[in-house]
Amino acid sequence: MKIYFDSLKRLYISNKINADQLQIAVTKGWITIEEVNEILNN
Amino acid sequence: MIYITGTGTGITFNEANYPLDIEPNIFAKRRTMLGEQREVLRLTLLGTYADVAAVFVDNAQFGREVDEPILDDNGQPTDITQTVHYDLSEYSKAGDIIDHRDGRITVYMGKPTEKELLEQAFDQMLLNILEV
Repeated sequence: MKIYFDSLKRLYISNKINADQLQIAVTKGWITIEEVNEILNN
Repeated sequence: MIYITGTGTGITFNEANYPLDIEPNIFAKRRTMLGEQREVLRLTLLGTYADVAAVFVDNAQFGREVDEPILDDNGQPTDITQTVHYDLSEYSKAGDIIDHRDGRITVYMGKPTEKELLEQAFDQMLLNILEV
């Protein structure tokens, strides 16, 4: 869902979470692998 | 905590007159800042651009120190004053800084919008879960 994606993107950009925590977000069903890659590549 | 015209820790700033005589030195109104309509505080101070830029950042802890007359039993002001501190830290979003080139600097600080407050709360909730 976009609300999770937007939030995780903000947290990643502000260095509050790392790539490993984005993977945890995938296991929770908050975002997809494609969205993780989008966050990491921006 | 930095107090304008006061004795807070660190740098001390004094108020200065805004270039328009009809408007006060410190003035709050609703306007567009950072792409959103929000309550914005405009502060005109004596200081350097570098000092103002260093202090008035996002989530800055700042306020205003004012000497106000003590009221008598009838609610009328007396000649005796007391120092009152007003916390303005709720204006936590740093905006533009204008250097008037005469020692006066105007800085804008805005309150977060309801949408931003909800985003902050949601971010914090996800962060708490991910940090467990």
